[in-house]
Amino acid sequence: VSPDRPIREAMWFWWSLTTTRLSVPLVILGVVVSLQNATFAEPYWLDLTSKSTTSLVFLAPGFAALAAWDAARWRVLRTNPVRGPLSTLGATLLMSVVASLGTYVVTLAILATRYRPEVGGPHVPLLATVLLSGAAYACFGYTLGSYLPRLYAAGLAFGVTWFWVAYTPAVTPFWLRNVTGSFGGSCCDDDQVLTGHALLAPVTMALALVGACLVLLLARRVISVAAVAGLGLLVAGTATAAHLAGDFGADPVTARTGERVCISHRTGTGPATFCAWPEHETALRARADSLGRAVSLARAAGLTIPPRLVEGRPTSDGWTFSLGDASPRVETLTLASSPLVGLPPACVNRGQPWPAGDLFEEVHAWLLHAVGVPPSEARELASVDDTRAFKTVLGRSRAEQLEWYRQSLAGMRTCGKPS
Amino acid sequence: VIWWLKASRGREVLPVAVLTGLVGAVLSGRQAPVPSLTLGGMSSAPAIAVLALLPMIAFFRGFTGLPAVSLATAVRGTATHSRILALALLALTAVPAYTLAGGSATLELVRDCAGLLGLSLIGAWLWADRGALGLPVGYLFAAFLVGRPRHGDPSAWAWILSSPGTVPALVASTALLTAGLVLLGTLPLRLMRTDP
Repeated sequence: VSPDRPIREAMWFWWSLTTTRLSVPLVILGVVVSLQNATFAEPYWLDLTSKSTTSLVFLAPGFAALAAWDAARWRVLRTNPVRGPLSTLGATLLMSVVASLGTYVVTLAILATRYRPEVGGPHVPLLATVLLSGAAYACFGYTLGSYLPRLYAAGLAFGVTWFWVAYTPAVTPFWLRNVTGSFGGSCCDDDQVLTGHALLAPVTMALALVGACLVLLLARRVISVAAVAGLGLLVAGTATAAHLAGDFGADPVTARTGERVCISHRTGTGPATFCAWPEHETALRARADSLGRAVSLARAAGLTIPPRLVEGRPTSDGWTFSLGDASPRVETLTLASSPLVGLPPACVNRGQPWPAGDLFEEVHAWLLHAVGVPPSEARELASVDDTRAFKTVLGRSRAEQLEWYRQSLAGMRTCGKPS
Repeated sequence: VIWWLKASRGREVLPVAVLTGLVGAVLSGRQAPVPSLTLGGMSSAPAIAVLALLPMIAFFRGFTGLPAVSLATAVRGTATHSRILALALLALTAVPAYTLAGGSATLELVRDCAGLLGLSLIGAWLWADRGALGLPVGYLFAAFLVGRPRHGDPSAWAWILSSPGTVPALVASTALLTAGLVLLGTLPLRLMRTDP
């Protein structure tokens, strides 16, 4: 007997699992799709961690189908089993969890290298929640495979899991999408954090699903009792998860609190302090001079800009700025555009006309010009069609321009006619 | 025929078709996110495309219920019966969908069901039950991943992503179903039930 035979036998067992053999293409696909989807991310660990799990949308149905296929194969051998149902379930789940973890970790490592977050670390509870949810779907697939022929079980596991994970974000009520464990499309800008029960709701749902599956797997001899108990467990878990997720709204996020990094800058028109989240400290230091110049020019043009500006948090007049990407002058352009964020007003969504909306591009171009962008470039950036009208505005005195701007902005914030 | 209908679980298979038609009518026109390599990350596809796996699975559930021993020793073949069952399955899918959602949704649903059923039969002919599921699911994955170019309509081979009235997609789906039904008479006996 060869001394390495036990190792070979153990390897054979793991390799005999379809989940093992097909996990490699799923992992590669998961990494590629998640990376392609993360064309823009914040250098913020929570954002990067959630984006690294985008592939759950197809890893979950994939591993559920593979688990169903494996379970159906074990079912055929049940008359003379070497391993019990928990042992084979554990092996299948372990493979799906390891492969999913590999996908998420590799994706996260590549994203972290690309975006270089400066503070904090990966959001481990979110990763664990997504892994638990994925394992619960694989457990669901395994249970289907334990009772149904493999063709039936694998197809059903794939279809049901895909509809549950991928389709629920397209429908209401909102709690449906917030209990599936899929965070890739719903979390988080750098001014957001997960809300209180954001992880608890999908964890509850996943545990209820795993519990129901275990009852069905372990109590086969009293299947009718097991079915009722499993269903009861699932309904109770769903109700609890729905209750926990009831207040989330579309996404399970809330405004981020905590210390921002601030840099004071003395401009020719008074002091200005610029604040941003710690993740943007380097960018803030690099662009503080440019922001100071823009504020100084805007004040010189007659605009009232408060002494403290916070990235992503508009003042009462709407002034803020963004350092969100590395494009040139992003801080200046977003500062100039910030009073227009929030337009058109809500009345437009109710179907009312917005006559002052015709002025939007001109006002935008005027604001860009006010922070130092040359007129022709401002016109181009704001997509102004009526060049003559814009030139007419710029030809007026500073006081008249300012009055025109104030009246236009006030008009655009309502659905009434501009004065 | 009665023996065949019982053995191929007609009473289970046909209600699945009606259910598919009902759910298809509800999902008509709705999109759901799917992975896409060509569009970069996540894209969307008609929700009906995945639902269309259901009649195919139901058909195989019935078809593989036929006992291998009886088929091997039968005086008369049952392939024609199974072909009729497949067409009845599609017809029964169409009725509720047409009643509730109209012609366009029905066309899309029946096209998808027919094409995936054809692919499944071809897959079963090539690789038994692995192919019966693997080929249609693999095709769906491939269509989602690379079937939609960055600009323009879906590729011709990704007919399942095309809009309902697209003629090449209808032709492709019909051709796949026809090929599958032709091959149905030659499917390997190892697909069938072996217990007494």
